[in-house]
Amino acid sequence: MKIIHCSDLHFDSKMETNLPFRKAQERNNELLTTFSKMVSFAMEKEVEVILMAGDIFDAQRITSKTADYFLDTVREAPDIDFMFLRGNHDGSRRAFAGKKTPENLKFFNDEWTYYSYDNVVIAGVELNRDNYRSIYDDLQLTPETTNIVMMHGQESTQFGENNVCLPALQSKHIHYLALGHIHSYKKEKLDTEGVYCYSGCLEGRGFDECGEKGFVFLHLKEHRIKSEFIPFARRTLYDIPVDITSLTTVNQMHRAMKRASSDISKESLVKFTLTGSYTLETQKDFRFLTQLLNDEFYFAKIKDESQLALEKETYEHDISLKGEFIRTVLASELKDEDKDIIIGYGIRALSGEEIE
Amino acid sequence: MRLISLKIENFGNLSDYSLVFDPALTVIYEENGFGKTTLAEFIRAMFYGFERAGRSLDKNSRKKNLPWQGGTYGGNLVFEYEGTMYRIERTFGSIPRQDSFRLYNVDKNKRSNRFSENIGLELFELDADSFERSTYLPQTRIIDSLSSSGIQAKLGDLVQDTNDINNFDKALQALRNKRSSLIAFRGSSGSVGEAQKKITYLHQRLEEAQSLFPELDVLQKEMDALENRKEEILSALTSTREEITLSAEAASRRTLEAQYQALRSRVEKLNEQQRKILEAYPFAMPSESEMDELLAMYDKAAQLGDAPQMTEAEQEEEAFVGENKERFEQGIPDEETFEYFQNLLNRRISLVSSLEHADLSDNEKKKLEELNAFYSGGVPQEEVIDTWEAKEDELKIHKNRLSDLALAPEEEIQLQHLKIFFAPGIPERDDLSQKQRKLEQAKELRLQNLKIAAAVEESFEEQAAPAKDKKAALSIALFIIGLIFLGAGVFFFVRQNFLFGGGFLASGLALLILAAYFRLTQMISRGDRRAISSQERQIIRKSEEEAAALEKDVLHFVASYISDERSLSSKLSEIETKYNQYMYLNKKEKQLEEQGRLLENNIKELTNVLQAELSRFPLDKNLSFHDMLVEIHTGLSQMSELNKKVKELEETAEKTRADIAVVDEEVSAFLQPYYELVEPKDFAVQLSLFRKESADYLRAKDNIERRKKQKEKREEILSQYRQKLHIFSETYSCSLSLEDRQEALRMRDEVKESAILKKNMQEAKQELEEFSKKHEKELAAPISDVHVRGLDELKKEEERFVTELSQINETLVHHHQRLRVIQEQTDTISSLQDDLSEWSEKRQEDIKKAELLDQTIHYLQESKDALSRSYLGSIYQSFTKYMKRLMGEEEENIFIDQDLDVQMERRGAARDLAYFSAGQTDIVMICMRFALVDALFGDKKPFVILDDPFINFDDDNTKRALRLLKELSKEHQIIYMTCNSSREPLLDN
Repeated sequence: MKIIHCSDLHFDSKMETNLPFRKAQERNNELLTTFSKMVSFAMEKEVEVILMAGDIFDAQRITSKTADYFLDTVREAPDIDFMFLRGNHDGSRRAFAGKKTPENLKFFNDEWTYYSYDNVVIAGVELNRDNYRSIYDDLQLTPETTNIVMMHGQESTQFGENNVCLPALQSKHIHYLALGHIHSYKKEKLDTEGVYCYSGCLEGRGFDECGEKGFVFLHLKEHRIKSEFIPFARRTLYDIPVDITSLTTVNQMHRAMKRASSDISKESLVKFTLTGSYTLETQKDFRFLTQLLNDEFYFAKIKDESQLALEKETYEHDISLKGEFIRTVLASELKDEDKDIIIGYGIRALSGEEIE
Repeated sequence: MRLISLKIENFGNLSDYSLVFDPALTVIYEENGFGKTTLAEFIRAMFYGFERAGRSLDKNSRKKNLPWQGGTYGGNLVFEYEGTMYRIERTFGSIPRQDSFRLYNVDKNKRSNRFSENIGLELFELDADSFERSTYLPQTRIIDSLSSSGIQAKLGDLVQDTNDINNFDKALQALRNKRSSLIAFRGSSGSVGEAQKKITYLHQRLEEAQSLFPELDVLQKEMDALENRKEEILSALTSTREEITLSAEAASRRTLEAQYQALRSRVEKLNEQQRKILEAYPFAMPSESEMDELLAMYDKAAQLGDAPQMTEAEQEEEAFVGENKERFEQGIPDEETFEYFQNLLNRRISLVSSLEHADLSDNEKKKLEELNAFYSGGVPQEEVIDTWEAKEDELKIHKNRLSDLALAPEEEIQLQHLKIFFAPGIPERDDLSQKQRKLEQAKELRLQNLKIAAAVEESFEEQAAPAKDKKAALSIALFIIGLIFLGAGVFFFVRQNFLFGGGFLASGLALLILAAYFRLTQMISRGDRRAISSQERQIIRKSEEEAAALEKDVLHFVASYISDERSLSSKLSEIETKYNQYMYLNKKEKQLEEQGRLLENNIKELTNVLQAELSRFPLDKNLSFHDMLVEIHTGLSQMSELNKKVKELEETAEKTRADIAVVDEEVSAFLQPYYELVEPKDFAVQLSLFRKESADYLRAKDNIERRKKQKEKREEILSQYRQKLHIFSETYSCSLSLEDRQEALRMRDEVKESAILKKNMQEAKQELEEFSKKHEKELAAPISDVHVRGLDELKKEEERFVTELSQINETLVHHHQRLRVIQEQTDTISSLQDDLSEWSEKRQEDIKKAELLDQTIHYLQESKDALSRSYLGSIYQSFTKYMKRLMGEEEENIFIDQDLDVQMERRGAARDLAYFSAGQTDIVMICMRFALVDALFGDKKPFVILDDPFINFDDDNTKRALRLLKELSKEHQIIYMTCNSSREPLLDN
């Protein structure tokens, strides 16, 4: 039996990448497409069940169009059962309002629900404030069957509405604990019988979700479960640090960025974090740089974490207005990053340069 | 640095002007209008060139200082800097591009690139404006503030990058602008404000969309509940329908059974009925057709009825036949014969009628009488009448001729006019001829005179012929053209084009006048002829007199008839013409009168004759002869016709009487065998009676015969019927008689009933058989004793469920619609949230940016103030030093602010310089200026240009100032300009 484990699709959720509106929409659409491709993959591989371990929809943002797309995709794979576990952000109840859900879309609730496929049992439960302590005791599994359990929450040793208390799930004859909530793939041992696994999300939505994203492909044979992470995301996000110390011109910075991102696909989303130091003479035209970079990647942004390097000796005795200004600002109680900016503004203003 | 010399090629009003500067004090003592200010501007221009031109002359130094006399616009300036002599050579064009700058190292006598064309900035580290404000003290220039960015910067010794310093105000403005673009200093404009508006709007929309979630949830719950309820109802409906089916099945089984039993009962019942009937017919039962025949027979027998009794009419017939038997034994004429005699009688009637009408009508009779009376005097013959008619025609002709004998109307009128014309008297023809001759004589005499004059003129005209010809031709041409123009003028006037009309008329008249003029001149020119001889003159005079006398006579004659201005000749000619006309018409009138008289005589004669002839007839005297004759003629023909008619009528009557007699004889012969003597007047009646009686007799005879036969026939039929009945009775063991129809009817009914029963029984049996066969299984099945609810109850329940289901569906549809509407709104939440997030972030960023910009402005300003404060002290010290030296006293109550604005304390209050006299202001300004220079330049000590700065000083102050000047010149190179000897420092001891 073949099973796919995925989670945290977060359809229609906000992109945390500061994408322009049109591109954010594109990404949301790509997410839907990736899901559809995953289902096609499943059909091709004769997968029987797709485990969806929560946070498929964003409660506040789900659109009717997305819900229809999802349901249609499920409908078009009638031979696959979709195990739909709602998560803490899930809004599927609203999403499916007024829509007829297909037969192969299986739901869970706040009590353990079991689905059997020959000698494979898939159990799932949705945690809430009322059951997060007691629910673990109600789980009934036998060692004769291959048992897969679905839950959504943060791995923890404590009980909590949003926690998956791992110790409470040990020795329950769980062979595979399919979890959702964490957006990166992670697989660890649960107990002697089984493992717990976060499939991660299908597509990164912010630069805190850099790296490969996809789903877990499970192959059950007799009592053995062989799992494999399949990177499946349409695009990958990268956070690339670039040291701009000793770089003074836009061109130099651009070249440095290009070097740092030479291995990255053009289809990627890249955040360049500028580090190091800069001087007053440094050309920090990030708008222009961003424009250049967006021609080279699907999306690029720049985060400036560089610091202004001022040699105090140069300005300590400089009785020019510039010198007086820098001294005054440095002597103030402002935050360092604010001081840098203020000094930058002042110097650019005095130089007649544009203030961005 | 020090100025050494200058040479002005052309600059303003200065041309080819050279000056060598004193290292200490250079005094330029020139009159007003010399160009002192121009000189100062030249010096400035040498160091700084010209700034960007302003529109006004005042601000456009390039234009202002354009050489009045033309030539090279520029010059050179030699100065010393750090021990080296340099020469600046500048020329200026109309635009900066045309300017030239060259720097020479005088010592090395070659070009130097130590300084660029911005040499002023490089040397003094001040922009041109700052330079002017610091080193140049004009005569009357109002200095609003000594301070400028450059000066402040210089004062703080800030010049490292001139652009930065000089852009301080711009920098500040740029920061403020940037800040304002984010958050306006006043109002709510700016990107933050815009973002806030957007955020507020998005919040509102988001709230609106999110506020629908509860409704969405409620709706979902309701829909779920409805769906559940729908499921329940569907399930209940299904079971109800099943129950309905069961109930219907049970009812159906019972119904079947009942139907089966009913069918069986029916068959049995029919069978019993049939049996009862057949009991009465032990051997056989007659068939229906036999019974029908029998009954038909009864009907026929009944129709035949009893032996008929003779009616009264039939009795009368019998009697009639008996009475007329003898008469009609000899034979009854046929219809054709009757018809023949009838026609004969009809003809007789018409003959009689025609006989009665063979006479004139009353009118005709009356007319004939009248005519006889008319012609009682004798009937005229046709020839006589013709004669009268001829006379009448002749009379008519004469009368016509008489009416034609008159002048034509126009001749009559003309004759009248001529009579009026010749009222003075009709001249004789000879008189007229004589007058004509006289006139001709006069003409001859004049012609003779003319010939004499012509002979004189001929010689003149031989010379003046061409001119005369010319003039004549010209006058003719002008005359013709003038006429044409006049004609055109009239034409246009007629066309109401008064403008053209007037023009042409005026032109035409002018041309005519011109033509007349030429003609006159031509005639006048005749004055220049040779003199006529006396003899000739005498001849001419005599001829003239004679001609005049002749003309006078003619004139006298003519004047009695015509008095207009025409010539005698024409008048006489007219008289003559009229005379001829008059004579002609007069003669014609007389002739006509004579003819008229003759005709009248003839007419009278004819009239008398006709009157005499026609008077014997009683005719209307007012009629014309023609009408009388017509009447006579008409009367004659009428009378003739009437007489002819009378004769014809008589002949016809005779013939008719003969025909009537023949008819009478024939009819009488026909009627005589049957009827005794019949008068002719009764023939028709009798014939008609005869015809009728014959027909009646025949008819009656036929009826009697017919009745006899009927009776016999009836008896025969009845006998046959009885025979049949006997046979029937024998066969079916009954006794029917022809008189007992009811029994036959009863039997018939029984037979019918039996047949019906038989048929019904067959049908019932068949129906039972079919029913049994069709419902064999159901009938074989036992009847269930399971209780099911009544069908009505179940139907009602089903209806309730269906109604509820329909309502639920309707509600679901409504909910779905509402759901769609809500989802349309909630679908926008994600984009609204993204938008909101984006705007909020932007707003925060902009607020942060604005804060940082505020800080930047604050710190920049603070830095500038700090810088200012750092030099204020030294300026104050220098200023007081100079004030003391100038005024000879300590000025303790002097305040200088950061902008270098000066205030002095007077009478307990700090007063701006504006409140002080011009002299005091100048003192202060000079001291400030020098203090500023000290502060600005420190040890560098640049030159200072003073353009008669002491003009407002009193004598004492002037002296002091001049002394100060001399002292300062030890430290500074001073260029002092004045136009007043009292202020010439070198003259002051």
